[in-house]
Amino acid sequence: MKIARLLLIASLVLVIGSLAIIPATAQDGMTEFVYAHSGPIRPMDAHSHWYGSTHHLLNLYYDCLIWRAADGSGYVPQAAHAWENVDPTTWRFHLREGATFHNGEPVDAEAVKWNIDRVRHPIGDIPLYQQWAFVKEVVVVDDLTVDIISNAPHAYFENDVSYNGCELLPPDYFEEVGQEEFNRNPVGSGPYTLAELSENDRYVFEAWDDYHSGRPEVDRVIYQVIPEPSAQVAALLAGQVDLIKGVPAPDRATIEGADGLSLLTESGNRMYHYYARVDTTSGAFPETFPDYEPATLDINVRKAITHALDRHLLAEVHGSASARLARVCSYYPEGFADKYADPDVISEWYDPDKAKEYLAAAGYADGEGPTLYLDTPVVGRGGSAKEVAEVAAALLEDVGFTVDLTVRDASAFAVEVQRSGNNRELMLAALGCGPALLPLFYQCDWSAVAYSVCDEDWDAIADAIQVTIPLDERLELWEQWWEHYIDLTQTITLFEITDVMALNSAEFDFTPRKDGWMTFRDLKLADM
Amino acid sequence: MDVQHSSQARVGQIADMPARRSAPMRLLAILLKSPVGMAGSLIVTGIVLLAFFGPLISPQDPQGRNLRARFKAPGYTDDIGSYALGTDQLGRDILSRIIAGSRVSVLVGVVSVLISGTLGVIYGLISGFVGGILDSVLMRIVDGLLAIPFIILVIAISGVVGAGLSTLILILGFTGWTTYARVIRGEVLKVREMEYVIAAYALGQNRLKVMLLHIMPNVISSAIVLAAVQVGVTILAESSLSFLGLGVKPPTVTWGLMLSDGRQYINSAWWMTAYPGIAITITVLGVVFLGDWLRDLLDPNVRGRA
Amino acid sequence: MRGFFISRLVQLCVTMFIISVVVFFILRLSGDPILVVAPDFFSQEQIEQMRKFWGFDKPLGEQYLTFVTKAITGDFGKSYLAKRPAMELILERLGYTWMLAAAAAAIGLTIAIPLGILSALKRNSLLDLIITSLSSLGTAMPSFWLGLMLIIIFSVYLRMLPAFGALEPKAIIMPSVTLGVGMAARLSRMTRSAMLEVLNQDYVRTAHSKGLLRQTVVMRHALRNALIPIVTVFGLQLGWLLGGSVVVESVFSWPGLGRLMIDSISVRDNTVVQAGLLFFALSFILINYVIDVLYIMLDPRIRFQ
Repeated sequence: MKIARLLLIASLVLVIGSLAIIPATAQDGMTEFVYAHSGPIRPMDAHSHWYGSTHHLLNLYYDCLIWRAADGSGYVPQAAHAWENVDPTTWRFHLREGATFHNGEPVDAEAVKWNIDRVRHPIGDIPLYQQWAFVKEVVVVDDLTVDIISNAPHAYFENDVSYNGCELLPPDYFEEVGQEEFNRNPVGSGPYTLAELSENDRYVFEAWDDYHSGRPEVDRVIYQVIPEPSAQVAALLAGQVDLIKGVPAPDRATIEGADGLSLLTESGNRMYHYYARVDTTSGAFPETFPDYEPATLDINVRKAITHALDRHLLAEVHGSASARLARVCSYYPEGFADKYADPDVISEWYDPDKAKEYLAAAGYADGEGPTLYLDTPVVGRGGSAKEVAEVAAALLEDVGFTVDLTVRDASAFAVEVQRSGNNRELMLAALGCGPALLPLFYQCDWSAVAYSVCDEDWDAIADAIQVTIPLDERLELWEQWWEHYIDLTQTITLFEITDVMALNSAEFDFTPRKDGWMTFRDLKLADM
Repeated sequence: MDVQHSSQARVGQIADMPARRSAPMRLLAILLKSPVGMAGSLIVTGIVLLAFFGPLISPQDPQGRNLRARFKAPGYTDDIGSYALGTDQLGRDILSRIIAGSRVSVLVGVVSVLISGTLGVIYGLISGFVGGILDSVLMRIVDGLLAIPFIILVIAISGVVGAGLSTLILILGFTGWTTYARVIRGEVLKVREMEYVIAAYALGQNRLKVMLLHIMPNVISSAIVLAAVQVGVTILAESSLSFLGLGVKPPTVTWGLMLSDGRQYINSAWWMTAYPGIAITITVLGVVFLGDWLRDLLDPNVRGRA
Repeated sequence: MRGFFISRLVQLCVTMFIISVVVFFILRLSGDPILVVAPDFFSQEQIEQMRKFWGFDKPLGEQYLTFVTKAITGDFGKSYLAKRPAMELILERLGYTWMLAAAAAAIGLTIAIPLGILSALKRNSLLDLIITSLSSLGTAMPSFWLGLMLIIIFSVYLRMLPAFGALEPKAIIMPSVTLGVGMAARLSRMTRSAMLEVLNQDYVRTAHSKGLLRQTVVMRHALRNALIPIVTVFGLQLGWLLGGSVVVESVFSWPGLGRLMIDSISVRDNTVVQAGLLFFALSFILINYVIDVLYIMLDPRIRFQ
C-alpha cells in the first residue's frame, strides 16, 4: 500500500513540477511570428555544415557581405554597403562604419578576413571549403575595406560569395570560447538576436535594436521544428504557427476555406530528376556490381525512358500544386528559364510510341525491354518521392521495361545510393539550380559522386562558362551547354518542385523568396 | 516410471491429444466452454485464412492505382469499382490493401516468433540445465539485453542495419528470444529437482537424454504460452517500425506502412489511418485472447506473468 | 542485508558492461558514420581526413576502450551533427520524457489498480467481463495509432488540444493518455490476477470467517499482499513505457528523449544513439533496483529469495 501511494505521489509531484519547464507563451505584447520548420536544424556555427534549411535560419542571425535579392534581381548589401570589381580577379568590399556583432565586437576588415579564411580551409571537420575554393586570398586594405582575390576571373563571384558559409562570426569571441561553447551560446551580426535555443526543436529570435539598417518590423521570429506535414497543418489551423511549407494536397481546400489563412505558391528552386547510370568505372560501382552492364549505358534506352514518362501525372502525384514542367529552374538569372519551359514541348515529351521506337533501336523486341533498377527515398523534397516512383515504374512498364523498385528512408538512401554512386540504373535526385553549381554536377572530375557522363567537349564548355565574364559570350556558351545536356540525356528530367505554403495572412505579409529560402528579414505585419 | 508419468500428466494431456481419436472433439469441447478462447481462435483463424486466400476475395488489386479517385471517403463508387473503406493517396482501395497487409502480419508474427522461440528455449535449457558459472554468465547477458526496452533495441538495430521484410523478421527474431530464455531457465530449475528427473538419472540415462526427454517436454508448455503473447508483441513491433519508416518498405503492403501514409493526410482523410489500425487491433486482440486461453489450459503456473 | 545490496550492485555493473559492449558493436559494425557527415563531393582522401578527426581510423577494440573509459567519466562523445556532447543533448531532453512517463504512470496506476481490484472482487460478473475486455483491447491497440486517433478527434475535429509539441501545459494530455492507456491495460490485468490469487489464500479466508468487514479484508490483507507482484510488474512496465515513449513522442512531436533517438537514428548520429541506448538501459535497471530495495525496506517480511 505504502509503495503504491509513494509511487503515485512521486509521479504526480514529477508531473506538476516538470510542467514548469514548458515555456510560457509570449504575453508581452510583442509581435511573434512562428515558422514550422521540418527539421533537422544544425549547429549555430554556420561554417561547420552545408545544410541549406539551417542556413535559412542562420541568415536572420548573421550578416554576410552581400546577399541575394529576394526577387532574384541581383544582390543587396548586408555587412558591406558597397562593392566593386576592381580587376578581373579582385573584388573590393566596403564595410559599414560602426557596425558591430551582437556582443559589440566590430565588424571590420580583419573580421571578414578571419571568417573567409576559416571557411575556405579545412579545419577539423569543417566541410564547406570546396565551395570556397575559388578564393585565392583575402587582403585587408584598411579597417573598413577588404579585397577578395579569386584564382581566375569568376563569372559567378557574387553568387558564390553570398552562399552557404558566407555568414560572419565574431572572431575574438569564437576563439575565446571555442566551437562547442559557441554552438551553445552563439553571437551573430544579423538583425535578430537569439533569445532561446532548444537544439533541433525551437529557436526564438528577437529583433536587435542596434542593427545597422534599422530594427526589423517583427519583434520575434521563431523556428519551431515540426517534422510531420500533417502536424504542421493542424498547428496552423490551431493558430500555433503562422507559416508552413509543403501543405499536403488534400488539406489545401481546408486552408483556403479558413479565415485569415491563405495559400502561397512559389518555385522551390529545385528540379526533380532521375539520374541515369552512364558509366560503370567510377565510384563504388565496379565493386558493388561487378560485371554488371546497366541498360542505361545505351543512350537509346535513356531516351526511351524520357519519352515513357508522363510528367503531368508525376507532378500531380508528387503533390506540387502546379509543378512547373521544365528542364531549368524558374529562378535562373540569365533568361533560360522560359526557353526551356515551353509547355507544348514538354507535353510532347510523353510519347509511348516514341519510347518503344527507341527501345527497338536499342535492340529490344516489343514488350521485352530491359530491367531497370529504380532507387528512391520515401520522401523527397516537398513531396512524396515514393509515390512518384511507383507511378513512374508503372509508366515504364507500360512501354515494355521491367522495373525493380527499391524504396529506402532518406538517410539510407543518402548513404547507400547517393554517395557511393551505387545507383544501378535510375536514382531520384532533387538538384538545386544555382547557375554556378549546375554545370559542376556534370563535370568529369565530379568523380566522387560519379553519376556523370564524362564528355570532354561538354566539360570544356562548363569550364569556360565559369571564367567568361561578358554576359553575351557566356550566354552563348550556356546555349551550347544545354544542347549537350539534352543530347546526352544524362538525367531524365521530371519537373521543378513547387513549394506550397500556407500563411496566417491576417497578421503577416510575406512574399516567398525566389530562391526558395525560408528566411524572414523582410517580413512585414499585415495592414490592419 | 510411474512417478514420471504422473508428473507429466498435465502436459501429457496435450501431447497425447493428436494420438487419440476423440482428441479434436475434446479440444473443441474445451474451446466451447471458454468464450475468450472461442473469440481468440475465430479471429486468428480468420486472419490466417485472409492471409492465405486474400487474393481470391480481395475486391480490387491492392496495388491498383486510380488517380481520378484519390482520397475518396469510404463508400465511394466509380466505374472501376466500389471502395468500401475509401481510397488512399494513389486511389488504391483500402479494403484490398488491408487484406493484402494481413500476409505480412502473419508472416512476421509466426516466423520471427519461431526463430526467437527456438533460440530462447535452447538458450534457457542450456543455462538452466548446466547451471553454475555458465548459467550466471548467460543470465547476465539476458539481463543486459532485457534492460534495453525491446522496441528501442529493434528501432536502433533496424535504423543501422536497414529495412526490408526479411531483415525485419530476422531482427525481431534475434532480439525477442531473451524473454523465453529467462522463463524457460526458471522452469528448468524447478523441474530439474523433481523426483522423476532424479529417478531418470538413477536409472542410468545420460544427461542429454534427460534434458531432451524429461525436462524439455515439461517446460515447453510455458514457451508455447509465451509464444502466443509474443506473436502479438511482434505484430505491434512490426507496425511501429514500418510506421516510423524503419521497417518494411513499399511496394510491400503492410498495415504499419498504411498508417504511416495515412498520418500524412490525417487532417483530411481519417479513413487512411483509422481502418489499418482497427485491423492491427483486432488481430492482436485475437492473439491475446488465444494466449490467455492457452495459458489457462496449459500452464496455470504462469498465470498473470505476461 | 548489506551483502544483498552490494551483490545486486555488482550484478548491475556487470549488466551495464554487457550492454555497453552490445550497443557499441552493433552501432559500429553496422555502417560507416562518416559517410553521413561528409558531403557528396568529398574525395576519398578528404573522407580519410575526417575519419581521423573523429577517431574512426583506430582498431575497433581500441575505439571501444576509449569509449568506455570516457563514458565512465560521463563523456559519451560529441554528436557528429550537433557538434556538442551527446550527454548534454540527452539531458536537455530528459525533463520532457520524465514528465511524460510520470504522467503516463500516474494515469496508468489510477486507472489500473481500482479496476483490477474491482474486477477480481466481482469475478465472472458483467463488470469483470467489461473490464477485462477493455484491458485486452488496451494491450492490443498500437499506441501510436491510439495517438493518431486522439489527434483526429481532439485536434482536427474538436480543435481542443494541440497536435504537437510541448508549448503549453495542456499539450501533455494526449501523449500521456496515449501511453497511460497501454500501461493501465497491462497493469490492470496483473492486478486482477494477483488479487485473485491472494483472495484464494487461507489467511484471507480466515479473516473473512473471523467476521471482518469485507472492505477491511480487501484493503488491509489482500491488497497489501497483491501489491508485491503488482509493483514488480510496474517496474518492468517502465521499460515498456520508455519504449512506448519513443513512438508516442514521434507521433506528437514531443521534444523528449524518444524523439531525439528517432531523429538521431534517422541521420545515423551514432554517438547520440549509443548514449541514448545506454541511458535508457541504465535508468531501467536503476529504477528496478530502487524498487527492489524499497520492497525490502518497506516490507520486513521479504528478505532474500
